[in-house]
Amino acid sequence: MTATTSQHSSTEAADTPDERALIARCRRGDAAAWDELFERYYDPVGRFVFQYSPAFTREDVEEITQEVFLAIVRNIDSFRGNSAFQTWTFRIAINKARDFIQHKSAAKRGKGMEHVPLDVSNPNNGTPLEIPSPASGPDEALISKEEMVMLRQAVDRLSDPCREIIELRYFGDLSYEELAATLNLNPKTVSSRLSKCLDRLEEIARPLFAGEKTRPFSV
Amino acid sequence: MDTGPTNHNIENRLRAYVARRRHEAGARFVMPPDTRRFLQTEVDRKYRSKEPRAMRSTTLFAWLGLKPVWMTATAVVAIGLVAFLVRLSWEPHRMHDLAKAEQKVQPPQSAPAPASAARTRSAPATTSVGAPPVEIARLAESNQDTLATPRQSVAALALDRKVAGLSQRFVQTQSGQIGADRSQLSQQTRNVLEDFQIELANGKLRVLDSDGSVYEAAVAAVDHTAAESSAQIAYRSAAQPSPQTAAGAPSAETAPAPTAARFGARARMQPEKGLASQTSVAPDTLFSNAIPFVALGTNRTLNQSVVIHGRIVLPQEHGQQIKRQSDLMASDPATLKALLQNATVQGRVVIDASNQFELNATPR
Repeated sequence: MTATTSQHSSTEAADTPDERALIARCRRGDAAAWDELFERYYDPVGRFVFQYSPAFTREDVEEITQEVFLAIVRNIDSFRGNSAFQTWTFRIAINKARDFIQHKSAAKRGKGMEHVPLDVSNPNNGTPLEIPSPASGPDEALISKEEMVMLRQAVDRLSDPCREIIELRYFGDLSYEELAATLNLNPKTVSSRLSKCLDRLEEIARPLFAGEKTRPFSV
Repeated sequence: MDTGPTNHNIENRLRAYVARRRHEAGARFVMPPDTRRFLQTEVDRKYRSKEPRAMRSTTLFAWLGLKPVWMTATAVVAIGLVAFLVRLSWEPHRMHDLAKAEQKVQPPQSAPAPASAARTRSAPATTSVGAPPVEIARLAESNQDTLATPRQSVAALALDRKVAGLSQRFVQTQSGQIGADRSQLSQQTRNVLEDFQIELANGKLRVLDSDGSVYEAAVAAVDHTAAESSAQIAYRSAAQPSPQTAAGAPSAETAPAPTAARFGARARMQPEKGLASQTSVAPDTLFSNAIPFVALGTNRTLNQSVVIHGRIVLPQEHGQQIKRQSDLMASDPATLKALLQNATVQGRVVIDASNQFELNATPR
């Protein structure tokens, strides 16, 4: 859970005076401040987007994340500071990821085949990108690729409030307090809503996973 | 992760999902340089487009806050411009009204004297005014039409006074009363032209009453014979006016005296026209030392029209130098000032075509 820790520390830093000063400089059009902001939030946002869907590649993530930061540049004046800046960027990322999925689904309906780039090199250093191994690692043995896709499908069937609270809680690693601040709810309300949403998710996912268990092979 | 609901099977699946995706994510996400350039371009575009607006507002505030001299100068120019435009807008009205009045005037053929009128010495009150010619009649008529209510703005008046710069104050002498006993007039009527000021500039004459009433006039082109003897003038000037007979009929010397009714614009100047047509030699020649004028306006206190058939009688020694009206107008301001300081104003004042009295005022 190294990534979790790094994401969380980044979230906590969002409320510091340094963070507020950085955002203030960005709002004045300071190019160096914007560079610093990109440096600070690109990785957390990229990881959040990567978790959003098991179908996303790093190329997809770069495309989505670019859209996320473009929206941040254009709308930073609308950030009120009610929540951490990173949480604000996560909520933008959720919308952009959903837009991307819808756009891609529409494109796939015409082509019938998804393009998977294998010859893309890292634009920073020219080295080949790390393509995730299709083989399951030690921690990943708990869930197969198909189960991940089904889980994503189940989450997508939730209502918007439930989907958002689950995505922020598990993909964004937000605490109850941060969720409460972001969603403008009481922490106890957050707990009860999360519990109800998980119940609902389980109801949706149960038949999907039951069907998966009946299949002869699992990846 | 924080403690939370852990009794859900689905939650375990979610945690497994997240763990696997984080593992699959691999190395740290680094923003590609072209994405960074693209975003910096967007930042530059956004904040550069904001900059001119900020600059504009800053410049405006600087002008407003730091340039009071410019603001004052602008305000002065604006006020001057407004005053100028007000004056310009007033002049065309006046010219239009004059033209209209000219069309209305019927050339008088003859002035039938009232049968009961008798040539008495009380009549020359009219001729002492100087028998205004047709031009004055037209002006008088137009003024009666157009100046019934003072239309000139205070700003325009102030400006005019500034431009004129040549004025003299006069007070009515006790002997300058004619007609009915002055005590019969109301106090307000008695105050008319009791104390007034004459302004002379650009060929125009203006009488300013003590209550702020303004009576406008043009200095008339004199239409009298140069051969008219000063003895006759003295005779007329000395005549004690008695405009009405006991029966109330107007009396006159060579022409009907101006009763109230006869001060109607069309009828007023008929006899003078006849005289002028017979004797006009030098229209610009001054009648003795007098500058005749007819001024009209509305008295602000009474809210009634006032017609002044007057003349400015210059002192003899100055009168020798001023042979023509053009000489008078061409005189330098100092000379004009000296003339007015030693002049008297004589004539007849008719209020609302019902009350009248003779004007005999001296400089104050």
